[in-house]
Amino acid sequence: MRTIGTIAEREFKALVTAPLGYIVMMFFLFVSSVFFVAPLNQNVANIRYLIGNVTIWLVFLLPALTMRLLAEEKKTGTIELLMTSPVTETQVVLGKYLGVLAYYGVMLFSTMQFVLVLGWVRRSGANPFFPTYTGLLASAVTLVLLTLAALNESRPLGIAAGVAKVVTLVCVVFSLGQMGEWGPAVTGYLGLWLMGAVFLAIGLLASGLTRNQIIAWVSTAAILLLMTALIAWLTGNLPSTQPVLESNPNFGSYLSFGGAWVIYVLGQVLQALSLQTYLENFAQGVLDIRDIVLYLSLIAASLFFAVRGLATSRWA
Amino acid sequence: MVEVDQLCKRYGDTLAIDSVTFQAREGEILAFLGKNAAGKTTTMRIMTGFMPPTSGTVRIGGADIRENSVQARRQIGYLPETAPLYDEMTVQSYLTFCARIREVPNREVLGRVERVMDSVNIIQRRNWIIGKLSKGLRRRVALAQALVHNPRVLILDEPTEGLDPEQIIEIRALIRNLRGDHTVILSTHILTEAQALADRIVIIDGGRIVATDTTQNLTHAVQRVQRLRVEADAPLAEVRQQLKSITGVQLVERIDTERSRFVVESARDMDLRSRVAESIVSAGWPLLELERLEPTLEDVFLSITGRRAVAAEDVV
Ligand SMILES: Nc1ncnc2c1ncn2[C@@H]1O[C@H](COP(=O)(O)OP(=O)(O)OP(=O)(O)O)[C@@H](O)[C@H]1O
Ligand SMILES: [Mg+2]
Repeated sequence: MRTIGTIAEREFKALVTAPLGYIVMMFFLFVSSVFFVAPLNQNVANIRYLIGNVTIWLVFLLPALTMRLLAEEKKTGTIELLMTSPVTETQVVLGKYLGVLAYYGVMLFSTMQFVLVLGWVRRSGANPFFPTYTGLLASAVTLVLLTLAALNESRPLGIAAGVAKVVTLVCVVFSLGQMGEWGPAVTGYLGLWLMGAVFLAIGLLASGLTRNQIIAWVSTAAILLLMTALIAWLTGNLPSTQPVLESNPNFGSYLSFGGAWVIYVLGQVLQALSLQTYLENFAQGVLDIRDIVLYLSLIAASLFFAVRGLATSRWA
Repeated sequence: MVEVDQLCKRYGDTLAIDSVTFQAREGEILAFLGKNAAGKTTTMRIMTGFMPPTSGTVRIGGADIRENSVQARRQIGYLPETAPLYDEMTVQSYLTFCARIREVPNREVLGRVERVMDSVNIIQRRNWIIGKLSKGLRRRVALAQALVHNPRVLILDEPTEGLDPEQIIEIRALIRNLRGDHTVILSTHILTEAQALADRIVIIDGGRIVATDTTQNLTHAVQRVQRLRVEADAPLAEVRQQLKSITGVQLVERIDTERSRFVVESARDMDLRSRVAESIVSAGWPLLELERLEPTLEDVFLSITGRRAVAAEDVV
């Protein structure tokens, strides 16, 4: 347990202190700001729009966080350090996964400022100092303290960052209250975090299969693109209702009936694989246990194969 | 303490090591001596559980490296051929990380890191980013990493490679101090290094063990002849004639095409330096160089097997 924590902490710090981590975070904040601001003119600002649109960006951004996790260790030889220490493959994989997942958490929660602003915009005449201004300040303080803590290796600063984060979250909860419809925002964020968690697990698996970071990034992004956008597009163009047999069937109509069924089943299967579909449910405030189970099993499967991959390199 | 039994490793068609068998006793320093591509690194990687053998077994303190891998690895400190360093970390945080994943209890971590930074003399650079250190300093941090958890067995792959002469002396003294409390297995391609450090020497050539003996016995076996390098400022043929006429000289070999440089061989226990010097000076020539040559790995192979070493590359 302590070993997993140690590895996770190192991985998290590496992301906080490395340029790559910053670039990904900045880009994500920029993109989500665009999607937040764009509909504001039409006075239809909502979180649902934001969540629906950042997914495609996560497809490209999150693999950049995971690409180095194992590929770089293999390339530079630091993998020899981990593999010859009394550490199991499972601990290595879980540690790295939790580290990058935590970083993604920070990244995602930093878009919660939008909730703070929304709460204030929605309720005219609301006091802007609490929760909006307080929350924004606390959120900024969190990021600054976190960076300082990582750079100075300071535990007190890290704890202070944690406190600031809690303050931010409290403000966010009050803002959600002001917003009125807090269900979709909460489930939407949960869904986005879970989906990111799936992306990261797949990215970690890909990173373990190569020593080339670019290959890890490209292959992960390609798989994720297939699982989200492409499948969503395909299912959009496939019939979603069960085919019916003509009242007076001849051989030809049996044939086309069969064909229609095949296409229908294919559409259903693709839909079941499409992460985007599930995310839409989340964004509408529907928290279906089956969706969560699907996400969790995708994560478990990816991590399992990542562990197998490492173990094979040791004991093949 | 360390038992290596019938180890074989095959890379595709090439047999990198073949039936490697040796033991290291508790508290001794064992040198693993061989030329480039002899199979030193391959053997060490298998011993530390980084790589599986094609066949054979390794036991560390009774624990099999495959069956009981974590227990075996717990007892090892390993310095790989390429320093396994995370370039973005500081020296101190890197060593802290290493101590933690090697299961050093929390309250002892700080003290151990402090002590090991002191012993490899890197304490002034504790807050440096590893990526900015010079090659020799990186090597020292890598050595510190192997020592930080005070392991019973140390496996060091060419520990003095890439260090300047002063540092080589320092690191050798450090390794010598480990004798008794630790079992040390180090690899090297320099005979004098093995002689300077080890209680026993295992010689590997072309993937096979060709000799295992105490340093004393091996040194004795190697010193069949005493060799001097001589250079005088005079015509070639005349110098050769002069050297040959000295009593006790068995062989004079020219080693330079332009200048009058020779290697002079005599019996093992005969020091001809004063006679050679006298003879050259009395002939009225300036003596430019006179040095006793240490036996090389090449001599070892000659004396043990009566043949030149298998691998073609030259040894320093
Ligand atoms: N990953 C690999 N794939 C194929 N062949 C390899 C691999 N690693 C090593 N070899 C081969 O195995 C042999 C032994 O290599 P090894 O690295 O063990 O030698 P070494 O004694 O450590 O040499 P050096 O002094 O140069 O470090 C060499 O012929 C090498 O080419
Ligand atoms: Mg080597």
